Amino acid sequence: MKNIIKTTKSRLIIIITSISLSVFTYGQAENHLKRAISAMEIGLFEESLNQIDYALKDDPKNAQVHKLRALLYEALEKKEKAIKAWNDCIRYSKDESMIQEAKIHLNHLNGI
Amino acid sequence: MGFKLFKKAIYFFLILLYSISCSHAPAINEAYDFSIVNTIKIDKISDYPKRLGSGQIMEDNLSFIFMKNGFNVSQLNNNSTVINLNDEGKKNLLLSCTLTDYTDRETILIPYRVEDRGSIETIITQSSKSNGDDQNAIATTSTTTTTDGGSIQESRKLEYTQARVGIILKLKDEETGLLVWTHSYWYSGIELSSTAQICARNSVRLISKLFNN
Repeated sequence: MKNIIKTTKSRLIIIITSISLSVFTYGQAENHLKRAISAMEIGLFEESLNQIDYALKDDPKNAQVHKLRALLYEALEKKEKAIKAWNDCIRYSKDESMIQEAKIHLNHLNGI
Repeated sequence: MGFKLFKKAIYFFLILLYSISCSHAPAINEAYDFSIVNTIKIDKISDYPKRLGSGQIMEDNLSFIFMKNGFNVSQLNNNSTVINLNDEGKKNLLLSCTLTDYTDRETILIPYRVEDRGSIETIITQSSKSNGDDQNAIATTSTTTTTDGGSIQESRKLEYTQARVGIILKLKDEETGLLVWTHSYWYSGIELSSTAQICARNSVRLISKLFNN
């Protein structure tokens, strides 16, 4: 047995790994936003917010995503977080009608 | 001289335009004495087109919020709602409400960035060859690295729907028909029922201020 092992040429080819550093980020914001909208539509607001948090990591200056986040916080009656999200929406938005909408919500949340 | 005057007029016009566009305060007849108002009757609210029952929902929201704010609310036989303010008051007001928006299908587009940051793929191939002696095996390792630079696109959009409720409220003197207070308001949200309620709540809060002075 030992001789057989000695005389047999062995070849071992091991492919250890394939390392992809960033390929996983492709389309992630899209996936998270789709999941956020789907969760929102069936009333899973907390899950929707989790997905929005992931989406914002890829695109932190997206005013529309901050707006959706603010609406979700309002629906969950998390006033302080909603105020922060509306302020973020104003900070990153260049759309006057969206800014106007944010101000109406802020006035309501601040009891003005 | 004429140019300076023209310039001033332009500035004045722009400031006036800005203040009008930024103003969300109700219009009010300052001469009217709200302290002598006996009742406010809520006029029947017409449904928003293709939204059956929306008028009744808003009417119920208004009476509910008036009650929550401590007003005495009566429901008459003809199903109209009356807010009782001051038994010694002489005037009666009529509150009319027009729904300018009542939808849970307002489409909102979310533009988003699709970012392909590329990838680095490394394949390590290892082989070993024995020359018959366990002590002297030859090991060979080769590495292949492929790099993809990636690309950035910003043109994609997703959509969702939100609720939006808009109202125009008018208070007029029942006897004279004099318009004494009017206000328009809208609100957006995820759920239609809560959005309608917030709309009613903010409007009633403003009406309450008329009678708290």
